[in-house]
Amino acid sequence: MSTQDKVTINKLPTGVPGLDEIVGGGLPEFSFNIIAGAPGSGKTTLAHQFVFANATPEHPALYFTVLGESAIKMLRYQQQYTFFDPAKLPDSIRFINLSQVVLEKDLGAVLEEITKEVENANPAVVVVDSFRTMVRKPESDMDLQSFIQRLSLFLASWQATTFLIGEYAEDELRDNPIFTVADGLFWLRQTAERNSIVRKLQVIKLRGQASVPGLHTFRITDAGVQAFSRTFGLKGHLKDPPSHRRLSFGIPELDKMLGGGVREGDSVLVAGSSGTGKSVLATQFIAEGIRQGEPGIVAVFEERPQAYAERATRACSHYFVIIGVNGDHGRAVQKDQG
Amino acid sequence: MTAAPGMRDLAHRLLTYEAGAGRTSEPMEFATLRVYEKLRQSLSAFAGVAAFESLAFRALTQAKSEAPGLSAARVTADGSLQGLGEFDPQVGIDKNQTGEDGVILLARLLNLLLIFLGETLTLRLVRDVWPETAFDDRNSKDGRNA
Repeated sequence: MSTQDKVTINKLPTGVPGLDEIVGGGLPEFSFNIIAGAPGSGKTTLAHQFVFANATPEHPALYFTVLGESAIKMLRYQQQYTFFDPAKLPDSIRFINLSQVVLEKDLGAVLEEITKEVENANPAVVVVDSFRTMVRKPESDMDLQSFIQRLSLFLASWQATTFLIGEYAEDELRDNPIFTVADGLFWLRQTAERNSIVRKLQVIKLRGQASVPGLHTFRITDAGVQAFSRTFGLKGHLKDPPSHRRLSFGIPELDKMLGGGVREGDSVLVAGSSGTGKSVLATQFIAEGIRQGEPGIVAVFEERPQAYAERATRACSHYFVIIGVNGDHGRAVQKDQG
Repeated sequence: MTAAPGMRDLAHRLLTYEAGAGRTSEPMEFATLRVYEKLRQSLSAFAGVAAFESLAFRALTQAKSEAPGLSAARVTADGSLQGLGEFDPQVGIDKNQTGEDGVILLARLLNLLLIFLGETLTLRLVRDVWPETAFDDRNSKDGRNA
């Protein structure tokens, strides 16, 4: 099929810094998405960011809450984020609680209630948070898969971009028929790595467009979720063609052994046991760059920044300046002006 | 501790507004019930029946300490208010107090919303129920648009 024959799928901004690059420019309009993960992994915050980024009075969002966190408490916490715009409530974003229907009736009644609200509001965005808590009664008329199938068909025909939020553990990912219905499946994880907690986001599936595969680190700050693509994203491209330039260590004999230095753009691992001069070598490389008029960045993990900068300045006669990216972790070096 | 002055003022204005919407001869508790019921419908849809019932129960408990005339009032499982205007003979409350009692109860309820959601969201929720009322005009005496 030629390009002009294909239907155009509009891409909606996710409202999550860094995530648009991961999903290839934005989320497909009218897609039916599942955000899955353990409690506290950022599912609700991510959905809120999408809702606040896209909802308008003309294209409102319906946010259905089920069992679990009450809307009052949810809004109490969510309004702490900078993306939260109270002016959008209730004309652009409307919260509807379905807990009574879930407690007293079955999934069929829940679907009926959602249908009624969607027909009234004609929303562009629909969120159900959390859809897993709806499965309470084994004698329910419809099983969850059937419910989601029908919900998906209904909301797609109403031209709504939808998010279902669900608490899932890692081992529930495989062979789960629920996930086959979804156009997009976003998995949020937070795992312990030694003493640290690392948050990871994975786009397990996204119909209609390519996304960056793999686990992407994300963090949750006052501004909400911020994602960092594992690569430079699908839009990323090299500024310049690959270079053949060699970068000097400032150590003539070593440069000679390397054919003129390290090839520009390469990643180099300096390995060795403690005290063999790894840090000195790296510092000399940076210092040589400064001498050539090329500033560098040193990320230090196992030493106090000030101590590192002072030692590097003494060793290389260049002024190492701490520019402090995110507190202690960023280092910049500048050429000594003296 | 009483409700924030702003919420008391808001409660008074809502009550005045709803009193104006009814017959002049009707008891004041009718207006209180209308305001309460509109808040119940809206907040139950927004936060759930159980959440509203909890808030209303707490508001009534607080209000009773300030307004003995509310002693017979109770919040039912669906969040409805019953027993407003019924008086415990031992308490012997003047029926003219019912308007003030209504203000106290509604102010307590609005104050809980204020505590949890903040002023901006609370006013937005109220404005959603009474869109025709000018809440931004703090100097308004009757709470209705001209």
